[in-house]
Amino acid sequence: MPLDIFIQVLLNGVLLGGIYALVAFGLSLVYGVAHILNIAHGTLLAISGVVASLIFLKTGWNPVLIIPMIVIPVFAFGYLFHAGLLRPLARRGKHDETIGTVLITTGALIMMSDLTGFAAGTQQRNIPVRSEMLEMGDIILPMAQIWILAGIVALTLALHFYLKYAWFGKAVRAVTQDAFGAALCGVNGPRARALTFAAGSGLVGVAGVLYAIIYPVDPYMGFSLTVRAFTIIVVGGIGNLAGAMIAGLMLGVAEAFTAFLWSPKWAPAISVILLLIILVVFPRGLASWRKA
Amino acid sequence: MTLLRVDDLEVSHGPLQALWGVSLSISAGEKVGLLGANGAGKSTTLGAIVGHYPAQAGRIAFDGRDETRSDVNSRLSRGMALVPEGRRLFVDMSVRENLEMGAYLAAPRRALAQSLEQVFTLFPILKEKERQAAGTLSGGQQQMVAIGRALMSRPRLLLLDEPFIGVAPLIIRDVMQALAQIAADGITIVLVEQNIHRALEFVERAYVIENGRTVLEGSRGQLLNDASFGAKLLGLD
Repeated sequence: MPLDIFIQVLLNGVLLGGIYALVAFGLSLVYGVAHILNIAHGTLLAISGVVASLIFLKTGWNPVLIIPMIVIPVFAFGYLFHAGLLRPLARRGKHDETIGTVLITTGALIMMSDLTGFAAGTQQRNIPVRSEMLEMGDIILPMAQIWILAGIVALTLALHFYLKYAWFGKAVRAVTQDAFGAALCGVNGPRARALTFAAGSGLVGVAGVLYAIIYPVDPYMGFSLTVRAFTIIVVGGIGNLAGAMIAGLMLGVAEAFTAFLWSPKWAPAISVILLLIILVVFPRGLASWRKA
Repeated sequence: MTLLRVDDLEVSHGPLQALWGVSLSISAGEKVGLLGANGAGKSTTLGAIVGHYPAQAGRIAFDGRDETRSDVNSRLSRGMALVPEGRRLFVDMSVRENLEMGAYLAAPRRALAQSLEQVFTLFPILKEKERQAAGTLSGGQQQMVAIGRALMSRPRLLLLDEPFIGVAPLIIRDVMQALAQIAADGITIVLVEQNIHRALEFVERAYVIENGRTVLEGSRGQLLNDASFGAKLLGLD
């Protein structure tokens, strides 16, 4: 493979993997703090992407302006969804709560996909930004992709520093590691769970806009993203940002090369195969390396 | 002056009633033990005092104000802190972060630097290990983190649930001395402990809980001389 094509495919994979990692990290934060396996997580990305593409089509605005228009409502939606539908389940027993959250988020997936399909159509859409080309010798890369890469890096760093140094970030980690211990310190558990659910949703909103700039989105594509996010969490560890990034990049790059060398149809299978291999070789996930 | 008063407290875990009538009266500055066999209801009593388990009947008053219906945070900010059974540390977070979490509420947060200084004076080893993940510490050091974390909220009443489990015998003496120092600083201490002799080494007075009820109360001397005390503790009568 010529170097310029190799670099282009690699960059595609890195972008895809970075977006997967953001999606997965949101899911794993929510799981770690609230013990909710949000089946509709990827669907929120799909719908954010569809809505962002419609806004772009109507206005032609820079996607950077569209991001807050998506993130703020998605954050609010996440908060209300948790407060209205998921939090009440905590009053029931543990099993009822687990099954209840899976049922409710699965129902949300179906309703959100169908409503969006009904309102906006089921066809694939994207955000066709016109982009300058960055030329470095033989290698030509669209500037839009460089900006997306910068956005992913900035978001990851912001998340890292927030969780490491902000009081609420520390509280989120504390609740993940020992909810009772955190409650004894004065962390308001229900509020932390609702805000984390909202933040995980907001994160997926940003990812949706970035995704739609490079790949087409449609209202029904969400579940396969959720499956990829599960793979990344199993590999990278719950609540582990670095683990999610490494696993996400591995998956994204593997998919990009599979799609290029073989067929895009096979790309989604990679996550399942990767998951199986890793579960056989490292039954406790890659994070167990660190502990060993 | 009575700091903590518990009257006929009843608590259930789901369908199982754990406490059937616990009554305590603890004065400011006291060192009091809660003794009893495994499963007698000692941990549940502490959990109910800090508001983790709701009271079904009875009354809890702290420093003259009724707290029976208030939540964990309001009791914490009024000056109660619990060092729970099993320590419940944030094992992947550093020692320093664990301590900082103890000062999470607004008022203790303002005194963070001073409180950290005090905890590090009490447990100098924690200063040396402040950047280490709490889960990598020895049992005794983890217990020091748990006690330190509770102190970070600047409590007036410190409740300790079996703080010597998993602590090496030599270190137990250090922890005991630290508790004596905490008490000397004017913090009231309630200690739940299964080892009667160890408990009576430290406390001045103790209650015996049996099957979810307080059945006996007395000073160290009274309890050591009471013939029924051993039997009550072991649940033999």
